[in-house]
Amino acid sequence: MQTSPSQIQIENVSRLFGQTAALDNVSVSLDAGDFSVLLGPSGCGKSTLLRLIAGLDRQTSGAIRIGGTDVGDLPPSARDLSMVFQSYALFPHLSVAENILFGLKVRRVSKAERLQRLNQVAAMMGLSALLARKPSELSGGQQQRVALARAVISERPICLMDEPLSNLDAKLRADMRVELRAIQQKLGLTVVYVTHDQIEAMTMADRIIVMSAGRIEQVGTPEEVYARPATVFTAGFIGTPPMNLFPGRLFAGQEGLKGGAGEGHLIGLRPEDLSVAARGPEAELRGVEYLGADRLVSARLGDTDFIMRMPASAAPPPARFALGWAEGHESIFDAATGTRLTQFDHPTASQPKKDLTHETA
Amino acid sequence: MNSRNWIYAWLMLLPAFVFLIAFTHLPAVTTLIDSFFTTAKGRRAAAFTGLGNYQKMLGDPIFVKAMVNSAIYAAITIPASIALSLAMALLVHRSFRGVSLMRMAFFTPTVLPLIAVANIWLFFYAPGFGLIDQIRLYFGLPSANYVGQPDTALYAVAAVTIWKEAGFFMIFFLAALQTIPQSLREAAAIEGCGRWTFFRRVTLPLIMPTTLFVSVNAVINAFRLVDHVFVMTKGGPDSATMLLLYYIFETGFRFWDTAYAAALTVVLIAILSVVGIGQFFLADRRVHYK
Ligand SMILES: Nc1ncnc2c1ncn2[C@@H]1O[C@H](COP(=O)(O)OP(=O)(O)OP(=O)(O)O)[C@@H](O)[C@H]1O
Ligand SMILES: [Mg+2]
Repeated sequence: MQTSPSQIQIENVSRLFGQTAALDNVSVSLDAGDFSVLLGPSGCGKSTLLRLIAGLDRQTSGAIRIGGTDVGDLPPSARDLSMVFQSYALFPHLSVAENILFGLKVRRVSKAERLQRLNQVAAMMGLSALLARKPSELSGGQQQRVALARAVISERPICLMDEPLSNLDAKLRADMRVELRAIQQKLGLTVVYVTHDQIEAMTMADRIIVMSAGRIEQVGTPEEVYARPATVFTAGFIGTPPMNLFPGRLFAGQEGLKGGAGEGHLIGLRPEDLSVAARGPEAELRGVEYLGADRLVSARLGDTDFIMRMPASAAPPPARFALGWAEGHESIFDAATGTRLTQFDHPTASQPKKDLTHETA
Repeated sequence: MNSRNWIYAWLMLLPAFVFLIAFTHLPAVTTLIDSFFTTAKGRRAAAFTGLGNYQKMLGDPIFVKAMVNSAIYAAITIPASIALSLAMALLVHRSFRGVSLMRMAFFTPTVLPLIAVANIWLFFYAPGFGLIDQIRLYFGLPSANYVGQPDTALYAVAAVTIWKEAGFFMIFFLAALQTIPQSLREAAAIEGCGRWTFFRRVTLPLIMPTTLFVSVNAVINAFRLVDHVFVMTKGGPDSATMLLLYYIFETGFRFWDTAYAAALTVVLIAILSVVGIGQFFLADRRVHYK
């Protein structure tokens, strides 16, 4: 198999801290030029994996290859990558310009080239007017931009980012998401991006790596991860509100389910795939939350609480109603192992193609 | 603020004020005044001599010797103790097995009284059976009397000061090093920044406020710490370890020439003030405060 110089391969990597495994036999391949997002709840090992790729930490076992080369013995600087830290890690005593140029200076890049690259990057990041300031004289968003500029100016093909937007307010975060994605596309960077914010993952990623408790739950495009969660964990983690999970017996014998689905299974349905129907299992209304465009309806089927999203224009359901769902959108999981049973996938809902509008954004 | 609050505030300050005035400001002012008079002797009262005491210094060979010694002593102990303490702090800043033991070992000289330290070092230096002589003899070198020789005594005394002070300054450097975020080191590592470059370009500038603080203390201590001179040399041999403060003590409390001692004290304070203020002005431009 041919490997591009900035493809990252993680092979059976484990990282133990004493007895606890922060990463437990993780294997994944991150393609060159992709915006890959490591997504998972706090403490699942995202930062640990990123630091292993960067070379700031050593794995207990397994191998990491960059461009096909085992980088196990290479120091961070020899791995040809840059990194943006959550805390930005700007040098407080140096000006913005000196911060951005720190790496080039260390690597003895000529002064003329330094200046030329600085001007170019500063213009791209909108930092030209701030070059003489100290980091303490910048807003959070500006500091973030300096950290990004420091990574970009190195012109290294891989950029690692550990929750770079988590210290920004909601509005700025939304702006920076678009900007980050645009820069990545423009420079053709291979980005590995850590976050526990699924909106960031959904909006920016070419590929999402969902992690939980030191393991990889699923690797896929945002559409795949959303529409076809591979495990009960992913189903419950992605989406606000997340996928509803019903015990299979509640739906046993219902029309529209693929033959055999029922006992011993969990049936996952997104809130927007549920509706009030003429026939179906009888649900009991518990509350309605008005969100402007939508209503979130809390209801109960048997002993399972669930949430249903309906357009605000539709009338709220009655106290008891028959539950319907968009056929072909259900996910069937093995109740015991929590993994998706692909034999129940509808052929019509074929693997979603990569969204092209997303690519050119 | 109304007047009741003012009274309250002054009452709160009063105890500190009384002590400060009685034991610091008044003595300082009287010292300055005394330095313009002669020492009262027997029935002869103190008489105004203007700058007489200061003129006397210029012709006083022991004063000149004390000034030169103090300058050499300061020039050795200040940079040496700062460099040593920084080196020790860098050594024990990382974590490895036995690091707390090492920190404690470095800090121990600080908790010992200087008099006790001087006695320990007297043993080190003791000719014939002292630690240093035993090492010298082992290597076939002749016995040496470091404290007893005029040309080595000052350095022997300076070594004690460095040993005593470095552990104390190390604590400040260690605290400063701990405040440098690990992520800076990591960001630099990714850029390919070596340890020496990181130290020179990041660590050193970031601990500059501490270095300034430590160096001011080192300067003050260079003139203030003379306890070990009492124990080890008493200013000898042949005034080889005569330091300014020790000379003030000798003049004031051995020869009871209090007016001359007062004038010497004024000189000492003037030197300290100039150096201290100068340090702040000089360093201020180069120090990064958070
Ligand atoms: N230096 C360390 N020593 C011991 N345990 C550690 C260390 N670093 C991380 N861990 C443990 O490893 C696990 C994964 O940590 P990691 O920092 O990778 O989580 P994360 O997914 O980045 O979480 P967050 O979103 O909160 O940053 C956690 O349980 C953490 O307690
Ligand atoms: Mg983390």
